Amino acid sequence: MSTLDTFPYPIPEFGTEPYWAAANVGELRVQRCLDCRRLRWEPAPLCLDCQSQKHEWALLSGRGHLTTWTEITHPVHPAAFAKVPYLVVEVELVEQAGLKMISNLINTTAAQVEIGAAVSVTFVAHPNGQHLPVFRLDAP
Amino acid sequence: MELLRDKTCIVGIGHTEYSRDSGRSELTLACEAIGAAIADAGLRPSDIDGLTKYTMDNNDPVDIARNLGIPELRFTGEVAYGGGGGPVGTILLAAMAVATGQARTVVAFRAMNERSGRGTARFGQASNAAGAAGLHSYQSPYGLFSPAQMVALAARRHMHLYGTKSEHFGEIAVACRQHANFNPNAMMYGRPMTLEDHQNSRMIASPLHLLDCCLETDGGAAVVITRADHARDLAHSPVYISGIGFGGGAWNHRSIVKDMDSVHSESTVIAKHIFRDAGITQADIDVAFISDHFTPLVLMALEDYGFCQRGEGKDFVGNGRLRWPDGELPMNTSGGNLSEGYLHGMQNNIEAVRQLRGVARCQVKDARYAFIAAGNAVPTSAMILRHDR
Repeated sequence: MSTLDTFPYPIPEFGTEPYWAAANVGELRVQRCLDCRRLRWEPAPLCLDCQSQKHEWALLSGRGHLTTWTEITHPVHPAAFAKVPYLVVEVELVEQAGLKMISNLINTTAAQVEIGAAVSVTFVAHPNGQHLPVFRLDAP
Repeated sequence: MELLRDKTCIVGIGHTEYSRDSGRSELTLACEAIGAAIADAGLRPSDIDGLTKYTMDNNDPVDIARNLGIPELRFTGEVAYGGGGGPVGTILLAAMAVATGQARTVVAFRAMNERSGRGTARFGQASNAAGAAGLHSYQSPYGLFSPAQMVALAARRHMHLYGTKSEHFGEIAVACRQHANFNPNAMMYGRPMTLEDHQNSRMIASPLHLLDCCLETDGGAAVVITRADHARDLAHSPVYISGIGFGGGAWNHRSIVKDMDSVHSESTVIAKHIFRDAGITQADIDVAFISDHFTPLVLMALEDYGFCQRGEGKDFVGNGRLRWPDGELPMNTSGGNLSEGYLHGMQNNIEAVRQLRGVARCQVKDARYAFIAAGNAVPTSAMILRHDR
């Protein structure tokens, strides 16, 4: 596989392996602080609210709504030439106000997208085998 | 800090031409720009004993000192966060060094071949790495690479929350281009642009058009900083650093994906003290330099620094307010990052000094106070410069 045929794959690191391992079995899991119970994305070693290191990997519903989006039409990576236009979105997840993550919105076009639209997670495999959480619009 | 008010001055400015391909090394560009700034101050390289730089600048102060004939370095320092921390942060470091006597005269510089890619990678292009770690592991696999793409997300949110339209971003681009057309050193000199041109330019990452995005540039730019009591006998009347600061905050956003739902930001960290430190208000500013890496970020900076309230940027930039000569707050009067060149903000400092010396091409009459905000949406830096007149 030429590295330029695809977007980069994520490299799991200390403390982030469970996030990527969950994606590989079709689960969206984020850290929940065991002291203050706040959720956080992306993975971080300390709770951003109370600085505790203690956490569990909470299974989320994968449901949320779009807070913002962009349709990328200008390719800045060799693999993007075959992919443009594509949609990068920010999703606020239903489990906690302000719990937002960056992802792709798939199986739709910019004309169908609006802020506030309900979305649900699904998973796509990167050519290297790692699955990525992405989103699709809920049926109206 | 108020302790620094008017204690230090910018006494020299220098730059190379701004181009798509400089045809020489980044070290050559640095030496040319720094040498020009030292000469502009009426000094010699042997008068310089400190250099401050951006962390991402490839030039080593030792290489510069050897080539320029600077015999001794008593101070060096680097500031992170590129066009955010760098443009004014390097001047902040220099000002602190000379105010405390750790050095006598320090040069802050930026020199790079970003456009040609001969030395510095193009910021607008993704790297060819096969895998992405850290923050990039949550962005690159989704095809989110470039600053323009990240700014697009915040711009769309701002439009949603406040009714801002692409035409408001366009007004910023048109103002900068208008000023660049008075500046033969501007990369976009001789290329007028209308709001219609802006609207018709191709989409990069919606809602950002091509003409919402800054240039990429090869070149060098530098400024010389010394203590006020050393500044009075030099070649030009001194430009005082009245208020200056670095700001990072609002950790609810990462990278350049600015969180528009928070009223706190890297910029508001500085806004809280910089005007107080200088003893003035926003209304006292005669000419503004707001980093125009992307047009929406100019509008957000005007809001965050208190020139208007959050959400009012769209009205503030209307009626030609930012355009010289008739606007109330002429901005980026040499063309800015959008149309002069993008030396990661250092070139805006040079034009601010020209304005206060009274020698700018788009000269604001009797300009006394200039406000300079470096790139926002990353940890940033800002200052207020003053001239006695």
